[in-house]
Amino acid sequence: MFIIPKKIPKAEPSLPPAFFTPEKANPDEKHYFEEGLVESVLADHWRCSWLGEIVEARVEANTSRAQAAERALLESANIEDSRFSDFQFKQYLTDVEEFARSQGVSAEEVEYEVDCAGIELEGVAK
Amino acid sequence: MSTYREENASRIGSAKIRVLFVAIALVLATMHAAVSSTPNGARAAETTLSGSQALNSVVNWTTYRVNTFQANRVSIRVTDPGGGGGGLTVGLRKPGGLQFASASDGGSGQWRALYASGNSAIPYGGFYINSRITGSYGYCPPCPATETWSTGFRWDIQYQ
Repeated sequence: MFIIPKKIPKAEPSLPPAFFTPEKANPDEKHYFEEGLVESVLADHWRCSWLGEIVEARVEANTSRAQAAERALLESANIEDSRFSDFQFKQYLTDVEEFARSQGVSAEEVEYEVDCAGIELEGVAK
Repeated sequence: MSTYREENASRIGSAKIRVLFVAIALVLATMHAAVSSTPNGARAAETTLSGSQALNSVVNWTTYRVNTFQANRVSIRVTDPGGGGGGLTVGLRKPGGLQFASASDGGSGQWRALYASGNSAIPYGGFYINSRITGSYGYCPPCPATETWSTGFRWDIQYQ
């Protein structure tokens, strides 16, 4: 089990993650969520929250804000190690970096676009 | 109540498989020209997923996978869809909630690609897996409370 740091850059979302309100094929269909999924999706939100902060700060050319967010993102290393130990998350990040370099954008930008679509992040800074 | 099991079956990297996916690459090359830049060589992994769940239900599994290629192919081969008659659908969901690819099979034993937005190119990034069982038993009181299914699951098969 992994521990998600409490600190996030923006206000906590007011709605539960959309992941837990999926579309039903019919009104009687039941949806079940395996134990541990809530923590995992929250970890996704946490990481996306900081990725979004980095991307936003860089657009605003706010170096100190971007650096603070980069440091916070490093805290997720332990979370990712426990979630991804068997399928090479680090290799994925290396691939993302390689692709980002070839496109002339940052790895955070690519990861944010690829993995954070649909994740609601509140717009009000803490 | 639901249970889930995943077992690594093999790493696939034979020349035969590479030839097959090179052929597929030729067909799809133009479609994915915008996201080219090929990483590492062809590689594939195969696992067996199995579980049991109620009819007319979807189970969202905690297992999180990362597709490490910019476009990829993910397939399932349902060996046992359970006895409910509705088959099994395996879906991939992004952490934001969007189900972006799925495939259904009633137990044909054939590999079926999961389709995303009309094609079998799965974009890279993280995803969760879910399993959906529909259908009903008809006349069988007392019907079983759960269905047991199993399927092969193949991913990281690069065809660019």
